[in-house]
Amino acid sequence: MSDVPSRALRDTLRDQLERPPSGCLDAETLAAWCDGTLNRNDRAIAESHVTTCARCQATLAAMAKTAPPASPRRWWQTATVRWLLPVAAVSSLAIVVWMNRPAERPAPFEFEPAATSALPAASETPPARERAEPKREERSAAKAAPTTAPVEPPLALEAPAPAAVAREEAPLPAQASAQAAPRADSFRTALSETVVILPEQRTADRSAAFAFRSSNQNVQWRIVAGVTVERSTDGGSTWQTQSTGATGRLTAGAAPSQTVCWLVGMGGVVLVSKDGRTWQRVEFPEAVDLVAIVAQSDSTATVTTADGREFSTTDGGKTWR
Amino acid sequence: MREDDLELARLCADGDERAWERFVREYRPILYRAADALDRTQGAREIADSLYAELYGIKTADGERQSLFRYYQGRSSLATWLRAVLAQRYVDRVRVERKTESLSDEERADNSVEPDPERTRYVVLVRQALGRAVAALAPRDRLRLGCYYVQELTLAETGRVMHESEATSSRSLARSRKAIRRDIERQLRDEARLNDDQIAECFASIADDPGPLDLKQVIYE
Repeated sequence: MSDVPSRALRDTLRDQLERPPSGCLDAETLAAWCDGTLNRNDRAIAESHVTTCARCQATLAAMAKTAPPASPRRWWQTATVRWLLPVAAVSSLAIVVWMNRPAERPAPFEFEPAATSALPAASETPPARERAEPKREERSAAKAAPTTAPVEPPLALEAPAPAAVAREEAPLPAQASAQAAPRADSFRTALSETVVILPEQRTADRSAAFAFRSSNQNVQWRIVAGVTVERSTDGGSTWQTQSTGATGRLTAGAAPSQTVCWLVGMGGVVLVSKDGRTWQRVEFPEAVDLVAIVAQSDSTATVTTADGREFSTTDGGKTWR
Repeated sequence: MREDDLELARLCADGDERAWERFVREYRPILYRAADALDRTQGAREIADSLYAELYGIKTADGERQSLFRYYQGRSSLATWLRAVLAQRYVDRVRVERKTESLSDEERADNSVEPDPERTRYVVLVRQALGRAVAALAPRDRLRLGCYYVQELTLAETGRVMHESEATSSRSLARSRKAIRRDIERQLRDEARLNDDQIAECFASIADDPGPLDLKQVIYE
Protein backbone atom coordinates (compact mmCIF):
# COMPACT_ATOMS: atom_id res chain seq x y z
CA MET A 1 0.00 0.00 0.00
CA SER A 2 1.46 3.33 -0.97
CA ASP A 3 1.70 5.87 1.77
CA VAL A 4 0.43 9.42 2.08
CA PRO A 5 2.87 11.72 0.29
CA SER A 6 5.15 13.33 2.85
CA ARG A 7 4.95 16.72 1.22
CA ALA A 8 1.17 16.73 1.25
CA LEU A 9 1.20 15.63 4.87
CA ARG A 10 3.65 18.38 5.77
CA ASP A 11 1.58 21.01 3.99
CA THR A 12 -1.55 19.88 5.77
CA LEU A 13 0.13 19.93 9.15
CA ARG A 14 1.58 23.34 8.42
CA ASP A 15 -1.76 24.73 7.29
CA GLN A 16 -3.33 23.62 10.53
CA LEU A 17 -0.49 25.13 12.51
CA GLU A 18 -0.90 28.53 11.01
CA ARG A 19 -4.21 29.09 12.70
CA PRO A 20 -3.66 31.78 15.29
CA PRO A 21 -3.04 30.31 18.73
CA SER A 22 -4.81 31.58 21.81
CA GLY A 23 -1.76 32.19 23.96
CA CYS A 24 1.78 30.94 23.72
CA LEU A 25 3.68 29.02 26.37
CA ASP A 26 6.17 31.09 28.29
CA ALA A 27 9.85 30.27 28.36
CA GLU A 28 9.53 28.82 31.84
CA THR A 29 6.96 26.25 30.71
CA LEU A 30 8.84 25.41 27.54
CA ALA A 31 11.99 24.87 29.58
CA ALA A 32 10.14 22.71 32.10
CA TRP A 33 8.78 20.68 29.18
CA CYS A 34 12.30 20.06 27.95
CA ASP A 35 13.59 19.21 31.41
CA GLY A 36 10.64 16.86 31.91
CA THR A 37 9.51 18.63 35.06
CA LEU A 38 5.95 19.43 33.99
CA ASN A 39 3.35 17.44 35.83
CA ARG A 40 0.91 15.31 33.85
CA ASN A 41 -1.88 17.86 33.80
CA ASP A 42 0.32 20.78 32.77
CA ARG A 43 1.98 18.61 30.21
CA ALA A 44 -1.36 17.72 28.64
CA ILE A 45 -2.39 21.38 28.47
CA ALA A 46 0.94 22.37 26.96
CA GLU A 47 0.87 19.50 24.48
CA SER A 48 -2.58 20.45 23.34
CA HIS A 49 -1.43 24.01 22.71
CA VAL A 50 1.83 23.15 21.00
CA THR A 51 0.05 20.80 18.61
CA THR A 52 -1.64 23.75 16.93
CA CYS A 53 0.76 26.60 17.67
CA ALA A 54 3.38 27.17 15.02
CA ARG A 55 5.47 29.44 17.23
CA CYS A 56 5.67 27.16 20.25
CA GLN A 57 6.23 24.08 18.12
CA ALA A 58 9.08 25.80 16.32
CA THR A 59 10.50 26.95 19.65
CA LEU A 60 10.44 23.41 21.04
CA ALA A 61 12.07 22.20 17.84
CA ALA A 62 14.76 24.84 18.19
CA MET A 63 15.35 23.75 21.76
CA ALA A 64 15.64 20.13 20.67
CA LYS A 65 18.31 21.20 18.22
CA THR A 66 20.22 23.13 20.86
CA ALA A 67 20.03 20.49 23.57
CA PRO A 68 23.43 19.39 24.81
CA PRO A 69 24.30 15.94 23.50
CA ALA A 70 23.27 13.13 25.76
CA SER A 71 26.17 11.19 27.22
CA PRO A 72 26.60 7.93 25.31
CA ARG A 73 24.97 5.02 27.07
CA ARG A 74 27.31 2.20 28.05
CA TRP A 75 26.27 -1.39 27.77
CA TRP A 76 25.86 -1.66 31.52
CA GLN A 77 23.50 1.31 31.46
CA THR A 78 20.94 -0.30 29.20
CA ALA A 79 17.55 -0.90 30.71
CA THR A 80 17.83 -4.68 30.69
CA VAL A 81 21.26 -4.78 32.29
CA ARG A 82 20.26 -2.18 34.85
CA TRP A 83 17.65 -4.59 36.11
CA LEU A 84 19.62 -7.76 35.64
CA LEU A 85 22.77 -6.71 37.49
CA PRO A 86 21.25 -6.08 40.92
CA VAL A 87 19.07 -9.16 40.63
CA ALA A 88 22.05 -11.29 39.71
CA ALA A 89 24.15 -9.79 42.51
CA VAL A 90 21.49 -10.40 45.14
CA SER A 91 20.90 -13.92 43.90
CA SER A 92 24.62 -14.73 43.98
CA LEU A 93 24.93 -13.29 47.45
CA ALA A 94 22.01 -15.32 48.69
CA ILE A 95 23.51 -18.51 47.29
CA VAL A 96 26.92 -17.82 48.84
CA VAL A 97 25.43 -17.02 52.20
CA TRP A 98 23.29 -20.13 52.12
CA MET A 99 26.23 -22.36 51.14
CA ASN A 100 28.53 -20.92 53.84
CA ARG A 101 25.92 -21.11 56.53
CA PRO A 102 27.45 -22.79 59.61
CA ALA A 103 25.87 -25.98 60.77
CA GLU A 104 23.40 -25.25 63.46
CA ARG A 105 24.51 -26.68 66.78
CA PRO A 106 23.89 -25.64 70.31
CA ALA A 107 26.54 -23.26 71.57
CA PRO A 108 28.38 -24.33 74.70
CA PHE A 109 27.34 -22.43 77.75
CA GLU A 110 29.97 -19.94 78.76
CA PHE A 111 29.80 -17.17 81.25
CA GLU A 112 31.77 -14.28 79.82
CA PRO A 113 31.60 -10.76 81.21
CA ALA A 114 30.89 -8.35 78.36
CA ALA A 115 33.51 -5.85 79.54
CA THR A 116 36.38 -8.27 79.11
CA SER A 117 35.37 -9.63 75.77
CA ALA A 118 38.23 -9.43 73.26
CA LEU A 119 36.03 -9.96 70.26
CA PRO A 120 33.38 -7.52 69.15
CA ALA A 121 29.87 -8.74 69.39
CA ALA A 122 28.61 -9.84 66.02
CA SER A 123 25.48 -7.79 66.38
CA GLU A 124 27.43 -4.57 66.88
CA THR A 125 29.58 -4.71 63.77
CA PRO A 126 28.07 -6.73 60.99
CA PRO A 127 30.37 -7.96 58.23
CA ALA A 128 31.08 -5.45 55.56
CA ARG A 129 29.09 -7.41 52.94
CA GLU A 130 26.03 -7.34 55.17
CA ARG A 131 26.42 -3.63 55.74
CA ALA A 132 26.74 -2.95 52.07
CA GLU A 133 23.64 -4.89 51.11
CA PRO A 134 20.45 -3.58 52.67
CA LYS A 135 17.86 -6.19 53.41
CA ARG A 136 15.36 -6.95 50.65
CA GLU A 137 12.54 -5.80 52.93
CA GLU A 138 14.29 -2.49 53.51
CA ARG A 139 14.74 -1.95 49.80
CA SER A 140 11.14 -2.86 49.17
CA ALA A 141 10.01 -0.49 51.85
CA ALA A 142 12.19 2.24 50.41
CA LYS A 143 10.73 1.65 46.98
CA ALA A 144 7.20 1.58 48.29
CA ALA A 145 7.63 4.73 50.33
CA PRO A 146 5.72 7.53 48.68
CA THR A 147 7.88 10.25 47.28
CA THR A 148 6.78 13.74 47.92
CA ALA A 149 6.28 15.39 44.59
CA PRO A 150 7.35 19.00 44.48
CA VAL A 151 4.48 21.40 44.39
CA GLU A 152 4.56 23.14 41.06
CA PRO A 153 2.96 26.39 40.19
CA PRO A 154 0.14 26.10 37.69
CA LEU A 155 0.93 26.16 34.01
CA ALA A 156 1.61 29.67 32.88
CA LEU A 157 0.80 30.92 29.48
CA GLU A 158 3.04 33.67 28.34
CA ALA A 159 2.37 37.05 29.75
CA PRO A 160 2.19 39.82 27.22
CA ALA A 161 5.69 40.28 25.94
CA PRO A 162 7.44 43.08 27.74
CA ALA A 163 7.72 46.18 25.68
CA ALA A 164 10.89 46.85 23.84
CA VAL A 165 13.71 47.60 26.17
CA ALA A 166 13.78 51.25 26.91
CA ARG A 167 17.43 51.36 27.56
CA GLU A 168 18.96 53.94 29.71
CA GLU A 169 21.08 56.20 27.69
CA ALA A 170 24.65 56.22 28.80
CA PRO A 171 26.23 59.41 29.95
CA LEU A 172 27.93 61.43 27.30
CA PRO A 173 31.68 61.02 27.10
CA ALA A 174 32.28 64.31 28.82
CA GLN A 175 30.08 63.28 31.73
CA ALA A 176 31.69 59.90 31.99
CA SER A 177 35.13 61.40 32.01
CA ALA A 178 34.13 63.80 34.74
CA GLN A 179 32.86 60.98 36.91
CA ALA A 180 36.06 59.05 36.44
CA ALA A 181 38.24 62.06 37.06
CA PRO A 182 40.38 60.91 40.03
CA ARG A 183 42.03 58.03 38.22
CA ALA A 184 41.22 58.97 34.69
CA ASP A 185 43.66 61.85 34.77
CA SER A 186 46.59 59.54 34.55
CA PHE A 187 45.05 57.64 31.65
CA ARG A 188 43.77 60.53 29.64
CA THR A 189 45.55 61.65 26.54
CA ALA A 190 44.69 64.10 23.83
CA LEU A 191 41.78 62.08 22.42
CA SER A 192 38.34 63.19 23.42
CA GLU A 193 36.72 59.96 22.18
CA THR A 194 38.17 57.88 24.95
CA VAL A 195 36.00 56.78 27.83
CA VAL A 196 37.56 55.30 30.93
CA ILE A 197 35.39 53.11 33.11
CA LEU A 198 37.01 52.31 36.39
CA PRO A 199 36.32 49.11 38.30
CA GLU A 200 34.90 51.00 41.27
CA GLN A 201 32.57 52.88 39.01
CA ARG A 202 31.39 49.70 37.31
CA THR A 203 30.58 48.17 40.61
CA ALA A 204 28.64 51.11 41.86
CA ASP A 205 26.89 52.02 38.65
CA ARG A 206 24.28 49.44 37.77
CA SER A 207 22.90 51.31 34.80
CA ALA A 208 25.96 49.72 33.20
CA ALA A 209 25.53 50.92 29.67
CA PHE A 210 28.33 53.25 28.74
CA ALA A 211 28.77 54.75 25.33
CA PHE A 212 31.61 56.38 23.46
CA ARG A 213 31.33 58.50 20.38
CA SER A 214 33.49 58.48 17.34
CA SER A 215 34.62 61.62 15.55
CA ASN A 216 31.25 61.46 13.81
CA GLN A 217 28.71 62.47 16.44
CA ASN A 218 26.09 60.15 14.99
CA VAL A 219 28.23 57.04 15.28
CA GLN A 220 28.52 55.64 18.77
CA TRP A 221 29.30 52.36 20.43
CA ARG A 222 28.26 51.22 23.82
CA ILE A 223 28.91 48.28 26.11
CA VAL A 224 25.88 47.01 27.95
CA ALA A 225 26.22 45.03 31.14
CA GLY A 226 29.87 44.46 30.35
CA VAL A 227 28.87 41.91 27.77
CA THR A 228 26.80 43.23 24.89
CA VAL A 229 28.32 45.57 22.32
CA GLU A 230 25.98 47.83 20.39
CA ARG A 231 26.48 50.45 17.71
CA SER A 232 24.35 53.39 16.78
CA THR A 233 24.60 55.38 13.58
CA ASP A 234 21.86 57.86 14.41
CA GLY A 235 23.25 59.56 17.45
CA GLY A 236 22.03 56.97 19.93
CA SER A 237 18.37 56.80 18.92
CA THR A 238 18.60 53.18 17.86
CA TRP A 239 21.19 50.52 18.63
CA GLN A 240 22.26 47.39 16.78
CA THR A 241 23.81 44.52 18.69
CA GLN A 242 27.17 43.32 17.42
CA SER A 243 28.65 39.93 18.13
CA THR A 244 32.25 40.21 19.27
CA GLY A 245 32.89 36.60 20.17
CA ALA A 246 34.53 37.68 23.42
CA THR A 247 33.73 35.60 26.46
CA GLY A 248 35.22 37.83 29.15
CA ARG A 249 33.71 40.96 30.56
CA LEU A 250 34.36 44.15 28.62
CA THR A 251 35.38 47.21 30.59
CA ALA A 252 36.23 50.10 28.26
CA GLY A 253 36.37 51.22 24.66
CA ALA A 254 37.55 53.93 22.34
CA ALA A 255 36.41 54.89 18.85
CA PRO A 256 38.98 56.98 16.96
CA SER A 257 36.81 57.05 13.82
CA GLN A 258 33.32 56.09 12.77
CA THR A 259 34.48 52.68 11.54
CA VAL A 260 37.25 51.90 14.00
CA CYS A 261 36.59 50.90 17.57
CA TRP A 262 38.74 49.27 20.26
CA LEU A 263 37.44 47.40 23.27
CA VAL A 264 39.26 46.00 26.29
CA GLY A 265 38.13 43.72 29.06
CA MET A 266 38.99 41.31 31.81
CA GLY A 267 41.70 38.72 31.31
CA GLY A 268 43.66 40.63 28.68
CA VAL A 269 40.84 40.88 26.18
CA VAL A 270 41.51 43.37 23.41
CA LEU A 271 39.19 43.64 20.42
CA VAL A 272 39.24 45.87 17.42
CA SER A 273 36.74 46.57 14.67
CA LYS A 274 38.09 48.20 11.52
CA ASP A 275 34.88 48.23 9.51
CA GLY A 276 32.43 49.16 12.23
CA ARG A 277 30.68 45.80 12.03
CA THR A 278 32.95 42.83 12.61
CA TRP A 279 35.36 42.30 15.48
CA GLN A 280 38.76 40.73 15.72
CA ARG A 281 40.59 39.55 18.80
CA VAL A 282 43.98 41.16 19.29
CA GLU A 283 46.64 39.21 21.12
CA PHE A 284 47.73 40.79 24.39
CA PRO A 285 50.90 39.70 26.20
CA GLU A 286 49.35 39.23 29.66
CA ALA A 287 46.08 37.83 30.91
CA VAL A 288 45.54 40.85 33.15
CA ASP A 289 42.39 42.86 33.60
CA LEU A 290 42.36 45.90 31.36
CA VAL A 291 40.45 48.96 32.52
CA ALA A 292 41.04 51.72 30.00
CA ILE A 293 42.06 52.38 26.44
CA VAL A 294 42.89 55.37 24.28
CA ALA A 295 43.21 54.93 20.54
CA GLN A 296 44.35 57.16 17.73
CA SER A 297 43.68 54.82 14.80
CA ASP A 298 43.15 51.17 13.94
CA SER A 299 46.84 50.56 14.53
CA THR A 300 47.74 52.83 17.44
CA ALA A 301 46.32 52.41 20.92
CA THR A 302 47.33 52.44 24.57
CA VAL A 303 45.66 50.25 27.17
CA THR A 304 45.86 50.47 30.94
CA THR A 305 45.84 47.48 33.24
CA ALA A 306 43.99 47.27 36.54
CA ASP A 307 47.30 47.70 38.37
CA GLY A 308 48.08 50.93 36.51
CA ARG A 309 50.55 49.80 33.87
CA GLU A 310 50.26 51.00 30.30
CA PHE A 311 50.89 49.04 27.11
CA SER A 312 51.00 50.65 23.69
CA THR A 313 50.87 49.33 20.16
CA THR A 314 51.51 51.05 16.88
CA ASP A 315 50.94 48.06 14.61
CA GLY A 316 47.38 47.09 15.36
CA GLY A 317 48.26 44.91 18.32
CA LYS A 318 50.94 42.72 16.78
CA THR A 319 53.42 44.04 19.32
CA TRP A 320 52.95 45.78 22.66
CA ARG A 321 55.45 47.73 24.70
CA MET B 1 12.53 23.37 42.14
CA ARG B 2 16.03 24.46 41.19
CA GLU B 3 16.97 26.31 44.34
CA ASP B 4 20.58 27.05 43.37
CA ASP B 5 19.65 28.37 39.95
CA LEU B 6 16.80 30.37 41.41
CA GLU B 7 19.11 31.96 43.95
CA LEU B 8 21.62 32.89 41.28
CA ALA B 9 18.87 34.43 39.16
CA ARG B 10 17.52 36.36 42.13
CA LEU B 11 20.95 37.73 43.01
CA CYS B 12 21.56 38.76 39.42
CA ALA B 13 18.18 40.46 39.26
CA ASP B 14 18.99 42.29 42.49
CA GLY B 15 22.23 43.60 41.04
CA ASP B 16 24.75 41.42 42.80
CA GLU B 17 27.98 41.92 40.86
CA ARG B 18 29.61 38.66 41.92
CA ALA B 19 26.54 36.69 40.97
CA TRP B 20 26.48 38.40 37.59
CA GLU B 21 30.15 37.62 37.03
CA ARG B 22 29.47 33.98 37.88
CA PHE B 23 26.46 33.89 35.61
CA VAL B 24 28.40 35.30 32.68
CA ARG B 25 31.29 32.94 33.29
CA GLU B 26 29.19 29.79 33.60
CA TYR B 27 26.28 30.40 31.28
CA ARG B 28 27.72 32.41 28.42
CA PRO B 29 29.34 29.35 26.82
CA ILE B 30 26.03 27.48 27.15
CA LEU B 31 24.15 30.30 25.46
CA TYR B 32 26.71 30.58 22.69
CA ARG B 33 26.69 26.85 22.04
CA ALA B 34 22.91 26.97 21.73
CA ALA B 35 23.11 29.99 19.42
CA ASP B 36 25.65 28.27 17.19
CA ALA B 37 23.46 25.18 17.02
CA LEU B 38 20.57 27.33 15.83
CA ASP B 39 22.42 29.44 13.32
CA ARG B 40 26.05 29.27 12.33
CA THR B 41 25.94 32.65 10.64
CA GLN B 42 26.15 34.70 13.83
CA GLY B 43 22.48 35.66 13.64
CA ALA B 44 21.57 33.76 16.77
CA ARG B 45 24.71 34.98 18.53
CA GLU B 46 23.52 38.51 18.12
CA ILE B 47 20.27 37.54 19.77
CA ALA B 48 22.23 35.86 22.56
CA ASP B 49 24.30 38.98 23.06
CA SER B 50 21.25 41.20 23.11
CA LEU B 51 19.73 38.99 25.81
CA TYR B 52 22.41 40.02 28.28
CA ALA B 53 21.19 43.58 28.39
CA GLU B 54 17.72 42.41 29.35
CA LEU B 55 19.05 39.86 31.80
CA TYR B 56 21.23 42.47 33.43
CA GLY B 57 18.28 44.76 33.67
CA ILE B 58 19.08 48.12 32.19
CA LYS B 59 15.44 48.73 31.43
CA THR B 60 13.75 51.02 33.88
CA ALA B 61 10.10 51.33 34.73
CA ASP B 62 9.08 53.86 37.34
CA GLY B 63 12.70 54.34 38.18
CA GLU B 64 13.35 50.68 38.92
CA ARG B 65 15.48 48.34 36.93
CA GLN B 66 13.72 45.30 35.54
CA SER B 67 15.63 42.18 34.77
CA LEU B 68 14.51 39.32 32.56
CA PHE B 69 15.58 37.05 35.41
CA ARG B 70 12.38 37.87 37.27
CA TYR B 71 10.50 35.63 34.82
CA TYR B 72 12.55 32.64 35.90
CA GLN B 73 10.75 30.65 38.57
CA GLY B 74 13.00 27.63 38.91
CA ARG B 75 10.75 25.03 37.34
CA SER B 76 13.56 24.07 35.01
CA SER B 77 17.30 24.47 35.10
CA LEU B 78 18.55 27.98 34.41
CA ALA B 79 20.45 26.69 31.39
CA THR B 80 17.31 25.21 29.84
CA TRP B 81 15.36 28.38 30.56
CA LEU B 82 18.01 30.45 28.84
CA ARG B 83 17.83 28.15 25.83
CA ALA B 84 14.05 28.55 25.81
CA VAL B 85 14.29 32.35 25.83
CA LEU B 86 16.90 32.28 23.10
CA ALA B 87 14.86 29.84 21.01
CA GLN B 88 11.74 32.01 21.34
CA ARG B 89 13.59 35.12 20.19
CA TYR B 90 15.18 33.25 17.33
CA VAL B 91 11.91 31.71 16.17
CA ASP B 92 10.20 35.10 16.30
CA ARG B 93 12.87 36.60 14.11
CA VAL B 94 12.74 33.73 11.61
CA ARG B 95 8.95 33.89 11.45
CA VAL B 96 9.06 37.58 10.62
CA GLU B 97 11.59 36.91 7.88
CA ARG B 98 9.56 34.01 6.46
CA LYS B 99 6.40 36.07 6.33
CA THR B 100 8.15 38.43 3.99
CA GLU B 101 9.44 35.56 1.86
CA SER B 102 6.10 33.75 1.70
CA LEU B 103 4.44 36.84 0.24
CA SER B 104 6.70 36.72 -2.77
CA ASP B 105 6.10 32.95 -3.06
CA GLU B 106 2.37 33.51 -3.18
CA GLU B 107 2.80 36.09 -5.89
CA ARG B 108 4.67 33.57 -7.98
CA ALA B 109 2.11 30.86 -7.29
CA ASP B 110 -0.72 33.01 -8.60
CA ASN B 111 0.77 32.82 -12.08
CA SER B 112 0.97 29.02 -12.19
CA VAL B 113 -2.31 27.66 -13.43
CA GLU B 114 -2.79 24.15 -14.75
CA PRO B 115 -6.45 23.44 -15.53
CA ASP B 116 -7.43 19.76 -15.39
CA PRO B 117 -10.92 19.46 -13.88
CA GLU B 118 -10.82 15.76 -12.99
CA ARG B 119 -7.38 15.84 -11.48
CA THR B 120 -8.13 19.07 -9.66
CA ARG B 121 -11.21 17.44 -8.17
CA TYR B 122 -9.19 14.46 -6.96
CA VAL B 123 -6.54 16.69 -5.45
CA VAL B 124 -9.18 18.69 -3.62
CA LEU B 125 -10.83 15.52 -2.35
CA VAL B 126 -7.60 14.08 -1.02
CA ARG B 127 -6.52 17.35 0.54
CA GLN B 128 -9.83 17.72 2.32
CA ALA B 129 -9.71 14.12 3.52
CA LEU B 130 -6.10 14.54 4.59
CA GLY B 131 -6.96 17.63 6.58
CA ARG B 132 -9.76 15.84 8.39
CA ALA B 133 -7.62 12.76 9.02
CA VAL B 134 -4.82 14.81 10.54
CA ALA B 135 -7.25 16.83 12.64
CA ALA B 136 -8.73 13.59 13.99
CA LEU B 137 -5.41 12.36 15.34
CA ALA B 138 -4.60 12.57 19.03
CA PRO B 139 -2.71 15.79 19.89
CA ARG B 140 0.39 13.85 20.80
CA ASP B 141 0.43 12.06 17.44
CA ARG B 142 -0.09 15.34 15.60
CA LEU B 143 2.69 16.96 17.55
CA ARG B 144 5.05 14.11 16.71
CA LEU B 145 4.17 14.42 13.02
CA GLY B 146 4.66 18.18 13.21
CA CYS B 147 8.08 17.82 14.80
CA TYR B 148 9.22 15.39 12.15
CA TYR B 149 7.62 16.73 8.98
CA VAL B 150 7.11 20.43 9.62
CA GLN B 151 9.99 21.26 11.94
CA GLU B 152 12.18 18.73 10.16
CA LEU B 153 13.68 17.31 13.31
CA THR B 154 15.53 14.04 13.23
CA LEU B 155 13.97 11.01 14.86
CA ALA B 156 16.28 11.45 17.84
CA GLU B 157 15.30 15.11 18.22
CA THR B 158 11.64 14.27 17.81
CA GLY B 159 12.00 11.70 20.54
CA ARG B 160 13.65 14.31 22.74
CA VAL B 161 10.67 16.64 22.39
CA MET B 162 8.20 13.83 22.99
CA HIS B 163 10.24 12.33 25.86
CA GLU B 164 10.38 8.95 24.20
CA SER B 165 13.02 6.88 22.50
CA GLU B 166 14.02 7.27 18.88
CA ALA B 167 12.61 3.83 18.11
CA THR B 168 9.29 4.69 19.71
CA SER B 169 9.10 7.88 17.67
CA SER B 170 9.79 5.95 14.50
CA ARG B 171 7.15 3.33 15.23
CA SER B 172 4.59 5.93 16.23
CA LEU B 173 5.17 7.99 13.10
CA ALA B 174 4.69 4.94 10.91
CA ARG B 175 1.53 4.03 12.80
CA SER B 176 0.13 7.55 12.40
CA ARG B 177 0.80 7.58 8.68
CA LYS B 178 -0.96 4.28 8.23
CA ALA B 179 -3.90 5.57 10.23
CA ILE B 180 -4.07 8.68 8.07
CA ARG B 181 -3.96 6.61 4.90
CA ARG B 182 -6.76 4.35 6.10
CA ASP B 183 -8.85 7.33 7.16
CA ILE B 184 -8.41 9.04 3.77
CA GLU B 185 -9.39 5.87 1.94
CA ARG B 186 -12.44 5.46 4.13
CA GLN B 187 -13.51 9.04 3.51
CA LEU B 188 -13.03 8.74 -0.24
CA ARG B 189 -14.93 5.47 -0.32
CA ASP B 190 -17.77 6.27 2.09
CA GLU B 191 -18.27 9.98 1.60
CA ALA B 192 -17.04 10.71 -1.92
CA ARG B 193 -18.33 7.35 -3.22
CA LEU B 194 -15.13 6.50 -5.08
CA ASN B 195 -14.09 3.00 -6.02
CA ASP B 196 -10.61 1.50 -5.51
CA ASP B 197 -9.34 2.59 -8.92
CA GLN B 198 -10.51 6.14 -8.38
CA ILE B 199 -8.94 6.19 -4.94
CA ALA B 200 -5.64 5.06 -6.41
CA GLU B 201 -5.97 7.80 -9.01
CA CYS B 202 -6.61 10.33 -6.27
CA PHE B 203 -3.33 9.47 -4.59
CA ALA B 204 -1.53 9.58 -7.90
CA SER B 205 -3.03 13.00 -8.58
CA ILE B 206 -1.85 14.51 -5.36
CA ALA B 207 1.58 13.03 -5.90
CA ASP B 208 1.78 14.59 -9.38
CA ASP B 209 0.04 17.85 -8.57
CA PRO B 210 2.55 20.70 -8.69
CA GLY B 211 0.07 23.04 -7.05
CA PRO B 212 1.22 26.09 -5.21
CA LEU B 213 3.54 24.02 -3.05
CA ASP B 214 5.63 22.15 -5.62
CA LEU B 215 4.46 18.61 -5.03
CA LYS B 216 6.63 17.34 -7.87
CA GLN B 217 9.13 16.44 -5.22
CA VAL B 218 6.76 14.08 -3.51
CA ILE B 219 8.09 10.58 -3.09
CA TYR B 220 5.99 7.64 -2.07
CA GLU B 221 7.46 5.87 0.88
